[in-house]
Amino acid sequence: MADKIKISAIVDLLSAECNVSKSDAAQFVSAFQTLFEEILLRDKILKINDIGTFRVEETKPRRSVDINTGQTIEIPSHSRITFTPAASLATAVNSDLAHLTTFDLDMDTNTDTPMTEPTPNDAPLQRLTSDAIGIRSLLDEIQNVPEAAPSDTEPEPQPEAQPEPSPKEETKPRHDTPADTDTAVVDGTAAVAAINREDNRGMRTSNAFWLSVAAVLTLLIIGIVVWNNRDFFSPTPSSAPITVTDTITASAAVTDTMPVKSEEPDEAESLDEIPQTYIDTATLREGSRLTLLALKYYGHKDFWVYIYQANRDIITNPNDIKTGTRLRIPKMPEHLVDPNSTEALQYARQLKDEL
Amino acid sequence: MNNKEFIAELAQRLASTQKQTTALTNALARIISDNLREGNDVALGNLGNLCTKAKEQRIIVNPKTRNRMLVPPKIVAEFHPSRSLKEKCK
Repeated sequence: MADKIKISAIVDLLSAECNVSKSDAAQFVSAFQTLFEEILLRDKILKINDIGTFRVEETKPRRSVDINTGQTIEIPSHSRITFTPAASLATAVNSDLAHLTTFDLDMDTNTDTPMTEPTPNDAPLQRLTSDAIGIRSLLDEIQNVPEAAPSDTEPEPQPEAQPEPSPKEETKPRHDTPADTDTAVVDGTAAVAAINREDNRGMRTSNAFWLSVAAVLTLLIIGIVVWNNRDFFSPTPSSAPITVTDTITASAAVTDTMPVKSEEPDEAESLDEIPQTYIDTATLREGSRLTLLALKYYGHKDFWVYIYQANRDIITNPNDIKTGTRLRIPKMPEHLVDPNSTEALQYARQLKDEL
Repeated sequence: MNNKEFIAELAQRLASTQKQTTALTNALARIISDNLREGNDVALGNLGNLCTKAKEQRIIVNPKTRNRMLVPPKIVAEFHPSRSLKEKCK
C-alpha cells in the first residue's frame, strides 16, 4: 500500500493495457503532460473524463498580519489549482467506505439515548425544571387568587414550617369568625361564603378577613407544592409521613378555598392594582409583540412564554393579541430569565414547545 | 476545455487517431483510478501528484431543523500540483 506510481510505471501499464509499444505510450504520456499544462494555463479549466476537473482559481488579495513583526501586510492576488474528482473516480476511491451513510443523530437520541444523557450535564437543568414547575403553579395561582400574590414572594421558608401550619389553618378560620359577628356568620364553611355574598354592606370588613384567609390558604398550597417537589427531589425516609398529613390538609384546604376563589378575584382585583409579583403592566401597542416585551423586560425574546403564562386568561392566541391589551409582566427568579444562561433559554424553548 | 476538445488536440499533436487517443486516455484514467483505490499515489511527472486522503467522520447540524447528522468517514482523491506548475500559475 501507499506506493507511488511514477511516470515510468504508468507507461508500462499503458503499453500493456492498450497493446501499444512503450515508446508510443511514453510519447502519449509526455504529450499529455505538456498539453495538460498548456491548456490549464490558457483556459483555466480542463476536464478529463473519469479523472475530474482541474481549475485555476483566482484568490482575491487580502489583509493579514505578519506573525513576526505584527504588522498588517497585504497578501496579493494569486492563483491556485483546484481539482474536483469525477463522480466515477470519487466512488472508486471511496469504495471501501461506501456502505457508510449519513444518519440523523437526533432521531436516535429521542428514542433510546435519553437515559445516558441526563447524568453528566442535565443535573442543573433538572433543578431548573423542577423550579420552573413550582413557578408555573405559582403563576397559575396568581391568576386565580390575585390578592394572595404578595405573599407568594416568600415560598422558600415555608416548607420548613410546613408541618405546623396544618393545625393552625384549621383553628384560624374558627378563631376569626367571632370577629365577623356583625354579619350573619355562623360557621367558617361554604355556607358563610354564600351568605357573605348576599351581604354587601359587610363586605369591606369581611374582605380583609377573606383576604387573610385566602393568603393563608394559598401559602399552604404553595408550601405543599414546594414540599412535594422537595420529596420528589431527594426522597428521605423522614419526609414520608409528613407528606401524608399534608395531603390531608390539602384536601381540606381545597374545599375551603373554593368559595373564596369564586368570590374574591373579580370584585376586588382589577388590573390597576399590580401585585408585587408583577414588575409592570404593559399596554400592547401596534407592532408590539410578546417577544419584544420579553426582550425589554428580561433581556431575551425567548422568555415571552412567561408573560404568556401570566396572562393566559387574557390571551387566547399568543400570535394574535389585540392592540391595547394590558399585559402583566411577572417577576421571575433571575436564574430563569438570565439571557446568558443557555439552560434558561433551553427551558423557555421547551416550555414554548409544550404550549 | 472539455474532454472532447482535449482529446482532439492531443490526437493532432501525436499525429494519431482520436479513437486511439481516447483509448489511451481512458486507460490512463483507469490506471489512476485503480491505483488510487488501492491507496497508491500517482505521480504525473512535472504536473504533480494525485493521492488519496481519509476524511474523519464529523457531525453537521441542519440549521433549519437543528437536527444533528453524523457524516461518515470517507476517502477522497486529491491533486497536489507540483512546484513548477504552481509557479507557472502565478
